[in-house]
Amino acid sequence: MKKESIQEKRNRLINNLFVNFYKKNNYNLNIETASFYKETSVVSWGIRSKFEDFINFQPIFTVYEKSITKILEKIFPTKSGRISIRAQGIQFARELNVFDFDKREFAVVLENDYDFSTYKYKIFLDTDLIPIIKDHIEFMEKVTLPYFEKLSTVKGISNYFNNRLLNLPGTDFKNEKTQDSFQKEEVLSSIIASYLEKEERLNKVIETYKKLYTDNDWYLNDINILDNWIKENRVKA
Amino acid sequence: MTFRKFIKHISFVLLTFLFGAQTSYAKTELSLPQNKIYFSIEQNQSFQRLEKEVQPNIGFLQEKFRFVMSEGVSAQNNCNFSECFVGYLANGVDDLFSSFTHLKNLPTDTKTFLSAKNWDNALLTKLDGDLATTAFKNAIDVNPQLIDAWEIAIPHSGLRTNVTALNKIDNILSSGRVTQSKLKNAINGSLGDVLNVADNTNLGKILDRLNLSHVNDAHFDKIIQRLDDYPNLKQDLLNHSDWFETFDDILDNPGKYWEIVRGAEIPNNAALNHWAQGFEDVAAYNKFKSIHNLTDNQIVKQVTLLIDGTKIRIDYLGFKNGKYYLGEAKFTTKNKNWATDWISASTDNQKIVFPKLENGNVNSIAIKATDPDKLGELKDLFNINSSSPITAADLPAIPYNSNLKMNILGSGSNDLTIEGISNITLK
Repeated sequence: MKKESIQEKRNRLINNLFVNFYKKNNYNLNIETASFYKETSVVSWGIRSKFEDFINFQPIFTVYEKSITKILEKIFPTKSGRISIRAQGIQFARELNVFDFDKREFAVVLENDYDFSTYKYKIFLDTDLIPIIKDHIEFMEKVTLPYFEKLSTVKGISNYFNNRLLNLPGTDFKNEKTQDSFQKEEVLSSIIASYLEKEERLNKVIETYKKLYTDNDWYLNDINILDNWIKENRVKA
Repeated sequence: MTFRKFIKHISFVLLTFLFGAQTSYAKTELSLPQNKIYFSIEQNQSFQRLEKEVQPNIGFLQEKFRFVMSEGVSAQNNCNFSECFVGYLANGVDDLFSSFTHLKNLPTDTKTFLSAKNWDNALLTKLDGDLATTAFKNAIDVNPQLIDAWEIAIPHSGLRTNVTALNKIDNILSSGRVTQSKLKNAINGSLGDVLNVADNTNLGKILDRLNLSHVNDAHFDKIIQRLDDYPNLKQDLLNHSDWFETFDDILDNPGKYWEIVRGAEIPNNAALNHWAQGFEDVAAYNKFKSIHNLTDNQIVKQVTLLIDGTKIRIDYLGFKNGKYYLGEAKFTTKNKNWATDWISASTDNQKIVFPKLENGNVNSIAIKATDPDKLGELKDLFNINSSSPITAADLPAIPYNSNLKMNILGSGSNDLTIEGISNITLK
């Protein structure tokens, strides 16, 4: 019997996940890119690193919201219009207050540093895929799908990011870790969400983000571009 | 068991105990004025073998008697005792093994040695079965101590009746460098799996290797740890038992790792060549993340860069807040001062490029990729808008300015931990 290649094994894994989980959750499969997708989210199983006899996977989760994505792509046409992106791991699970994955065989935590741990599925030719499939499905059910659910509406997006922003202690504003805790696309999306929801707090949201990133042009420039667009479109409205 | 047999058995055990106790006293009396002889026993026997002597037993007494006789010591009391003792014993052990096809035909010395082990019926039955192999039985007849080697090799049917192998195991035990329990633990585990599949030539070579002066209990710990922690390494040795010498060379001389691997001409895909991967893939990666407060989706691993026309592969490319982070993991088996030694640990092309980065002579840094998986990751990393797969031309050029940082993360000597981090200061 012909020996299965590592690429064939990967495809078998992807197909198995599709049949046993993603199809039931209304995802489509792109076997070429090893990703499961629907209008509001994509789960990518691209290879993270390759070695002679094994490959590493760490699924990546991307969130879209139709109306916000449309505005983002209009204002920033070279960017993908995504709302948020996360990688499967302890850090992401803890963001959702899930601690079940801290001690999994796929987690590598050095010196109890959970913030900078590694979570990976290492696949050799003889690796049993079942534990990987079970672990990923459990992660999806406990962490990723609830996350997707929270960000599935414009209101939800505004609440998830803007509520946290407005509750930040003033002393945290110069803290690099706090600044890093929002991705730029999350900042822009949550401003647009507040705009689309016609929230009274919109100006406060924009000004608070500007204050948080006052020394960071990479954020600030795009916040200003979006702020101007909102002002123009508010006038038109 | 019949009542007659039971009485004989009880009598044998009781008398054995009484003789043992008496001999302990006799030994003490004899040994006190002859300390030199007493110490020479300890020097010439392995520690493990002497451990057995803590409790008086028949096997020990028999051995001790032979030793004293061979040393020409005037020990009239011992001689008299032993003659009586052996004479009695011959009848006792015959009864003990009378129901076993082959055990009952063993020489008295061997039976005495074996009876001291107090094995249960299952183990005796297993040995009895193996004694059907004539060569094995003949060897046991001549050297009862091979039973110790047989006991160590029990899980491996091919090994435990291989007389040549058993003699080599016996030699290792007799060397006194390795305790019986350590050797047993190793052979019952991964090392035994390797020995069991090796052909006779390689089996002999491995066992000879294990009898070299550098192999002690601590070295066995290293062997066991490596084989257990690196299943692919073990698989290499299962497939190529002739690589054991290289494997052991590396364990013995970790500072010569690369020279040994190169000299042994082991294929690139062998796990022996991959010890460094755990460092690149985990320890250095986690450290790189923590230095720059990066998340997994902000790093792409194993990226090819074209820097002023010279192609290098970098272990990590990070991108966050418009800033670029390059990271390179360097595993070593030698003691390094990473503040200065990072350049010597670099590849030929890295030796061209890294100093240029440090000296500010860089004109362009382009990301090169053709692999669809890599391009997909880079597309996510830079949040590129494209409904179709991107190409390298869609990727941004990495600016050479204050938004670019680089680290080389060096390992400890032969260790998967971070020993040093060199920040290449870019101008």
